[in-house]
Amino acid sequence: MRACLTGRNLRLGLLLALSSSALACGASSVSGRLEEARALRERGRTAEAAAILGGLARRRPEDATILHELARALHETDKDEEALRNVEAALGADPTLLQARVLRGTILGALGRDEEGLAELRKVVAADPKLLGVHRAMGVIHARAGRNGPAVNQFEKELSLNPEDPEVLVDLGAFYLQTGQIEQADDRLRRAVAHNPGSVRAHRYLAEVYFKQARRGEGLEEQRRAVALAPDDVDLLVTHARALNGYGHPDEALAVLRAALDRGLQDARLHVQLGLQLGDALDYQGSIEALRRAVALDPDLPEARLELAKTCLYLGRRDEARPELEAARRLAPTDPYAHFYLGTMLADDGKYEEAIDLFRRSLELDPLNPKAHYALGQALLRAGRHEEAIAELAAHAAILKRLREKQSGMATME
Amino acid sequence: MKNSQAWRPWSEPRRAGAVACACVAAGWMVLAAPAMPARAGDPAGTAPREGVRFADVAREAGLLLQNASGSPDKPTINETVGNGACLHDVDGDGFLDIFLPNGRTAPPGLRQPPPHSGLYRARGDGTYEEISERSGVASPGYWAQGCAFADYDGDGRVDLFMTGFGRYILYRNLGQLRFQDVTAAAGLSGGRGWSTGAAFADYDGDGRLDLYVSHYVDYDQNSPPLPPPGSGANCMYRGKPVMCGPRGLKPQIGRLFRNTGPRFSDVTAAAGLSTTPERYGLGAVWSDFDLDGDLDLYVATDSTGNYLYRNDGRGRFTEVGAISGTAFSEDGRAQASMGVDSGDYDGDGLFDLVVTNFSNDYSTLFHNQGGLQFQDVSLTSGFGPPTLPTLGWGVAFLDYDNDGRLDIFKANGHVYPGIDAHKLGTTFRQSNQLFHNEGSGRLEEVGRSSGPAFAQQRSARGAAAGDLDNDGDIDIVVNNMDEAPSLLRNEGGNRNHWIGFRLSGSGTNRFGVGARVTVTSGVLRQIREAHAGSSHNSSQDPRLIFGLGAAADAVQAEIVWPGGGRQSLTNLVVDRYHTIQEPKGPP
Repeated sequence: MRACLTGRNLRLGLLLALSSSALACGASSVSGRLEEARALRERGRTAEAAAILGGLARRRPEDATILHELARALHETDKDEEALRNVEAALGADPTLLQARVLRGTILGALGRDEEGLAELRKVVAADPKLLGVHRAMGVIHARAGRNGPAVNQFEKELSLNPEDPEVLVDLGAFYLQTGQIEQADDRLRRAVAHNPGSVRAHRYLAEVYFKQARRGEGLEEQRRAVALAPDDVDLLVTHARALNGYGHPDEALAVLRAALDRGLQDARLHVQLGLQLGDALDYQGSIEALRRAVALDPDLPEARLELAKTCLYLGRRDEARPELEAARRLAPTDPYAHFYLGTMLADDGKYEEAIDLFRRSLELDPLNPKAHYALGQALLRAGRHEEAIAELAAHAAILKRLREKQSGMATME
Repeated sequence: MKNSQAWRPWSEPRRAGAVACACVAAGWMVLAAPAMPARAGDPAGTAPREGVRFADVAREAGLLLQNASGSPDKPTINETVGNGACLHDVDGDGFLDIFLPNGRTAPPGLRQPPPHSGLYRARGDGTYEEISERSGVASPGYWAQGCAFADYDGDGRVDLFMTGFGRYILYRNLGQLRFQDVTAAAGLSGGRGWSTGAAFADYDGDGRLDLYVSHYVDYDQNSPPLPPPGSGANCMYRGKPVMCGPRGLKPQIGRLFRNTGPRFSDVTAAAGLSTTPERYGLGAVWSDFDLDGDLDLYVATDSTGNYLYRNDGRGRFTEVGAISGTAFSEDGRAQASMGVDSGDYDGDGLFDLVVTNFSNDYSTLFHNQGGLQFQDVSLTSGFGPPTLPTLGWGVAFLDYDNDGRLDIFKANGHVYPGIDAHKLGTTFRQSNQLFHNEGSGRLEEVGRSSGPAFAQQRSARGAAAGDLDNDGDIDIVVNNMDEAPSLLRNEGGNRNHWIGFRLSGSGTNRFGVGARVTVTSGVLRQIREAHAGSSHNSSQDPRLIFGLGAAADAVQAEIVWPGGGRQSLTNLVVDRYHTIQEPKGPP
């Protein structure tokens, strides 16, 4: 062959070499991008990971690994329908990929298709009883559906396979926390932290446990650890700032938010929280500015619209509040408060029938909101609908009475 | 029956009490008394409101009583509510005297002389002499809260009622600047827990002044059941330990006492007032909100829905707070209500309500829509937003610039002394606020441009408004927690015309408490009501003062006396006080 390397052949050889090199580079690029996406996902930046993986999947639509990874990232960004399509494509490409089956079962559960999800997961258990993560996934499905006994059963099975799996410990701890079993939650989460001090979720849930136990300082400390591990996790930052503000550290709360924003983490939710805290600190102008920035960054974030509207209303700036409330209603039609606040504006304007409709809609979504019962009662009175009004005011009084009793721990006579 | 009488102004300034002219016509009497002279150079016409300023002249005036209210760090709620201020002419010399109830320094039993409450007699030259001891109202050792002046026995001398811890005190005015404790004789003795606001009125139309007393927390000062700061969910504020309550503490019911002649009898239950201890009562005011000729009762309550008791005219009340729209804020929240006043701020002839509340919440302006329906207009009127950083207590509708529209004064101060360190945007000491009525239902906060008195930072509590120097504009006395009081002298309010009325009832309600006066001058038509108890633990100038703006032609007044008698006066001379004698005989 070497003898055959004539000028023409030499050119061909060079082309082949270049082509082969290009292919090698391409392969290396795919695996590098795949690793990059995995790293991003593990750091909680799942949307960025999904974007990279989506690009890779377009280039290699038959690659089961890429499709599986993409499905994971999509699932973690709550795009479960899309995640399901991709994981099923991965299984189409490689039906033996058990981890993809686990993911499919998990996604089906997230979509509320519990029986299908559990059936898929049971098949995996049958195929490999010792595969890690399957019982955990089944436990999550049961927990989400409120089937506490089966949930605990599955989590404990998972732990029996790997007693030191910090993620299972976190799941179990979180489950106990949500079901009010604080001591058990405390135990599992502290074990999770001991086994994996780098688990953001473990620190975060443990903080919640401490707050429930009125151990506020320790709770804040756990949150600080979580934030140190995941400084770009916006949900975590917002939760931490809210806790700091509520537990007597408003300056630190503002510092946390401002530091994140200064680092370039321009997320509307951070501005919303900043706006709320500035409002708490009676800096209403600063609050409005922060909320306006949130709206500018994410005009579709209903929370930003609603909080901006509420602050404007509080300052008597009704003209500014109104479009924000209308936007909040449009963006989050199931949020009772957008209906409620728009109703109060209309009632102020004497448009009682329109206000009544909005208050009723708000109460359909949240029947136990005393404010809406009261506002509805007042609007009904002004509209001359006395009997209906009395019923609403009675509902308002009854809810307040229950709240008062809950607060004081004493029953009261009316 | 319509009576009219024109009067000429006095040519020489004289002490208001020295009535020098009386004219009896058709069974009633008008006594015109002079105003203090206007200062040289003051224009007779309308003055811009920026020209009205307030200066704190308490020290120069000799008003020096140091307020005591427990320890400086206020670890328990009983130390935080503070004291009121009350105004009346106790010696009949024509000038308002000042009473300042006082608290006590905790813990009890300190060797220093116990703080005492202070009665300050006006000398008539802008200064005061303290006569607490010799008049018999010093009440040393009594941890007082509020006060109200009223002539309960109809002898023509104004008496003094005090609220506080453990008991009430009723001091009968014997004349000659002497008072006597007649609490027991009046049927008001006994363990009374923690009483706060008090207000007199003749609710049953029998001619005698009855009494409502608000009560706050069920509290025994001998074994105070008050948990320490931070010891529970109701003992934290924004994550910091603070004094507990009122939430989580047992409330105490307010009491209505019917004046049966020599004694008062508790008719709380019989009259239909709440006997369920579920709300923490503070300020109270009687007012005829539905203009049906009897006085209704509004009670501001802390952290719970406020009461509005509608009087059926036959001695029975129905609680209509929620249905009237005055129990809660517009959005159905129970606010931490402290002080209250009623007045017609928008000139529609109906009495509206202003209620002061906690910080991070707005103080509330309830507009009376008629038919005993109110609307919370705090945010739309412009009144609410500037109050958000403040914790309000004393409050008064007053026309400080005499432009013919009722403005609002609001005394502010927080309950948590440690709040300054927490940087929560509010402070223990705060500036008081003044809201100018711009007309068309709008109010604008103008404290910053109203003189140095509004730059002061105090932890104010009770406030009482009245024309202390008889110059025709309204001054304000403020009782400050743990400090000396403030006396905010109005400088320039009398550049506009005004007219004032001293009411003299013909029966036992000798100061015409509950009377309603309507003054018409040109296009201005204003209505006022004589109160004996309002604001926070306080009572105001018993006289009714009307600003008239630049135009002061053809001033007419109509008085509806508490018994229902009506009296009309025409062509009244402006810029002075008129003493109006109620016609004798049936209305």
